Amino acid sequence: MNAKPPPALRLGRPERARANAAQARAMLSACRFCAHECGADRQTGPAGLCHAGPQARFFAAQTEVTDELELIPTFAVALNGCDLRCAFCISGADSWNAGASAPFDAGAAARRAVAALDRGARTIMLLGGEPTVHLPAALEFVSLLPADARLVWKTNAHGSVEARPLLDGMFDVWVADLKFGNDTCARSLAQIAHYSAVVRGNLLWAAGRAELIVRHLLMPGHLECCWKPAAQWLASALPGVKTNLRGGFWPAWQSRRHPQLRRPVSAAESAAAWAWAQDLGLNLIP
Amino acid sequence: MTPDSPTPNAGERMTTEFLLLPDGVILVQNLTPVMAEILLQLNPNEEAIRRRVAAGQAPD
Repeated sequence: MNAKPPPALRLGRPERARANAAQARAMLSACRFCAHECGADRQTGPAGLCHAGPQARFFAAQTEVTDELELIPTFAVALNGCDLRCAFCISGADSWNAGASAPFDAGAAARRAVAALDRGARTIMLLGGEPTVHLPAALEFVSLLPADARLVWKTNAHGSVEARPLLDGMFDVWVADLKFGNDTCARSLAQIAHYSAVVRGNLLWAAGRAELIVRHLLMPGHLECCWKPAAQWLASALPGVKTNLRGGFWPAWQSRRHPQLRRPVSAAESAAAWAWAQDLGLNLIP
Repeated sequence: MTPDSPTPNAGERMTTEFLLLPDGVILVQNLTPVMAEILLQLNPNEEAIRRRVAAGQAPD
């Protein structure tokens, strides 16, 4: 199911990214990058549910080896601001506060990314928060990177349909979260509506446009309601898709507000989650 | 680093975050190659870290 974009798609990527970035920047006056589609005017200052303005900011840019083995070492650039409000967000205030940290300079970041590639990084990853919120800056960054660099879009997969053409052909790999197995948990834990329809639609779209890796962070007490339905859907809708079942849940940020999230995942839960995945024949990757 | 701590100089410093659990398990976020090597020295039998150290040999 993972369809690699043909090499021709990469040709001219910097130029197409530049054009897409200009288009995205113009769209900030009635922003519909994420699936909230709030239409806020972000040209002059913070607005909308993400509270992001026109200036992207970033809270980390470094070479890391935390991600999927096939992607690391990756030079990871993390932008502030997100359209979700996950209580268990590992980067907490940095992700939620679009106005925190340092202004993102696409040129400076691109120079550092290229230097990291020269030192042996295999990929360049753009993440957040949620990078979709900052599509103009993200695409400007892409426009300044070598056409043959392997680029990774790490996303919550809650982007809008309107954002898709701007992202099409820009990233070689999509690492996309499938956080929740149902809309009730999504609403309770991330203050989000219509989660399943939006995210599943985006995963299906991304699978046809880039290499797709789906991540699910196993949450304590959410094996039956979240992981099992998510895994069942992956097995039926995206058979063979690379899936990273992540077990390092960390009761961070506002997790304490949800009794189930006040502890790490137990060994029994972890074992059951893996067994479920194997029974379904999921293509699990480390 | 706590979630509320300020982040001046973002991008100028390297950050890895750890959570030590009561049973001795260490959870890690934003693992850099250098920190992966340190963790491997602490527990040379940890295969998950060993694979990440091997993957991260080249860059800083």
